[in-house]
Amino acid sequence: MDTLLFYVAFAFYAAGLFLSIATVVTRKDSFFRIAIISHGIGFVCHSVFLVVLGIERQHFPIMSLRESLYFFAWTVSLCFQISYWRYRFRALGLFSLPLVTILMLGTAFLKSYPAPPEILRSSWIYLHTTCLILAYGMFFITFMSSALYLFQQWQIKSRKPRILLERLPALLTMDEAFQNFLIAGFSFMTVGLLAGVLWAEKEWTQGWYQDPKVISTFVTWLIYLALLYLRLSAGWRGKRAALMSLAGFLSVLFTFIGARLFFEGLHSF
Amino acid sequence: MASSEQSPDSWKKLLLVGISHKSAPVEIREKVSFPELELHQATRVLRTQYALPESLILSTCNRVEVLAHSEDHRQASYSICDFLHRHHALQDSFLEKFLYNLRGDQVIRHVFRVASSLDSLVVGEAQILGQLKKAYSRARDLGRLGTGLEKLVPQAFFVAKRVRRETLIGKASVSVSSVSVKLAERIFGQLEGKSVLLIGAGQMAEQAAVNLVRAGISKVTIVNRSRDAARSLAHRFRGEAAGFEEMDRCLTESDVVLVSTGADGYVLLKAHLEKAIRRRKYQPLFVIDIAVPRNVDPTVHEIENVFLFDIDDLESVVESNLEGRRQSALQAEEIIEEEVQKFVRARAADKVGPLIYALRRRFEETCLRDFEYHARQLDDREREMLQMHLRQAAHRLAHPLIIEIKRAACGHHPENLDMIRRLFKLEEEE
Repeated sequence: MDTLLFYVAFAFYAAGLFLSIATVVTRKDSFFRIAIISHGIGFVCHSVFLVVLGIERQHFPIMSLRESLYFFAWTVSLCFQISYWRYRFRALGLFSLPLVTILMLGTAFLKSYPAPPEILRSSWIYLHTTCLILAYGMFFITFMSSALYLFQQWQIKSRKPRILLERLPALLTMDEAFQNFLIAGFSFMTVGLLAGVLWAEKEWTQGWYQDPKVISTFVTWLIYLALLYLRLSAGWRGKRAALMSLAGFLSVLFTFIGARLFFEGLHSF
Repeated sequence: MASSEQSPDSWKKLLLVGISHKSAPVEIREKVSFPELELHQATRVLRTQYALPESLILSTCNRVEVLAHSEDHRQASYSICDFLHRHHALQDSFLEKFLYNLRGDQVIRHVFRVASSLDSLVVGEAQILGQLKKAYSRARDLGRLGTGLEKLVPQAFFVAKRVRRETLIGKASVSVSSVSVKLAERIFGQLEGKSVLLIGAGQMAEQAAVNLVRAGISKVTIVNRSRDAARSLAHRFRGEAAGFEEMDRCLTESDVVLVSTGADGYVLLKAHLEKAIRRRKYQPLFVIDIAVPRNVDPTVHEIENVFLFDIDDLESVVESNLEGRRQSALQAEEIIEEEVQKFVRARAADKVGPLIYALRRRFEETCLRDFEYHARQLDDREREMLQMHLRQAAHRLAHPLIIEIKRAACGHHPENLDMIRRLFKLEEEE
């Protein structure tokens, strides 16, 4: 049941991806409308898949790297759908859809973990990982918005607006998306981090803060704190904001994947 | 013989020297544009110092053209060049590669195209016709128009109306102001709640402001050197009038800035906008400079989140919106071509007018000779009828000859003219 749902979701995501590429190639808007619907159906299947998986495994499916990738892909899909329906931010599809499809594809190559030890089964971990992964999905959108803002700004500045310009939302709309996803992502990250810290204080041995993943997560949080502060107080946008959110997102990627590859630590993923 | 006034092919003496957005960038155009107030004086100088019998100066944001009528093309176009250089204190031959030099039917075609807005920066916009009308009446007030231009310019108005009526060129007009609105929407999305600042109260700026307000801009502020003009405009837009000293505050509060003052130099400098953009926390600022000469320092564009478009930049955007109107433009070009031919033919007919008149009279006289003698027994009504019939017969006889004369005037067997003169012993009068 769950594997079937996974394949269906994957198929719809892939269809959405190809249709959105077709939109760019053929410049026909009708393709994009089907793409967004296809992606929407994929998203629903994906959600049902996560629920079914959770019931089957008796825990919220966010305990292994594989499960967290499922959830991360789901988060990116969710953010893309929100940004489309809220801001008509179609160009994001060009970046989110491949990411979602690759993430889904990637999970197939990961070995499945045995049931997690009893100690990890705590509501803290659900709060901790769910919030952080939601935040990371939002930071992806934040980064893409700021990059596209920069691109659109460059296009208008060049004074030779081309076709793509028509397909990007207005500068201020992208700026709004950037800010809102940044605020939401930062809030989730803060809650996720707090949950992790409190949980570690209660359950874990001394020295949890020396874990490489914990350290890099804090660095990430500080980068986003700085970005948010500069955005709200000094009005950072355009080039500086794009560079900073690139730094933030690279830090997210390192935290999510790199820290685990290069160092041994408390986190299994 | 042909009179000296209606000498052969008077249209061939037309000439036009000009510079436009097609031949020169705005940096050059702004150096040769004539402020409204100088135009009278300039026209007078052309007459007195350069001995140009007929001339008209058209100076708009996008073009400066001098239209003249002269026997000696070479001398006249040299004079106009010299005049443009001297008047604007430019180095000799500075304008050489930017000026175009038209004569004869090229002038007719060009003037028709300009009037019909086919040569405009924004093809199809209607302002050019008004500007041309103004230039025409100014030249006429100064007594600068002889028969050469007196016929051409009003005909151009007629052609413009015809083009407007018969094609869709004006309907789909992508005007500078609607392009401004589009760009504003690219930057701000919804224009509701955004505000526009007008610096100077030029006509183009006013038009652009009307379109922006129509698109949803909710607040209009006007800064002008003359407070009264600012107030009356502000009243129209239910906006606010402010003085130059309040510029900094206005820049901080506005999203779109439309600049079109008559000033000779930069009104907005980089320092102004750097300060404003910091105060705005780097919210985008869209600056439109429709003035020629330009009123905004071009380096302003380097500031992040400041988008400066001058009249040439708007053109490049307009270009990308033109596709849909190629068809209308082709249609319009056909009309222009037809009208040029018509005009040339009509001028040729002007030239043979006296001959035609003489021929008609000769035929009428011949038919009506001895009429009084033959009609002496008829009553008034019958006399009238007979006279009418004889006149008609005379006209019918003359008709094929008149056609032949008109054809000859256009160059088909021109020797026929003399033959007809000889055969019928015609003497043309003025």
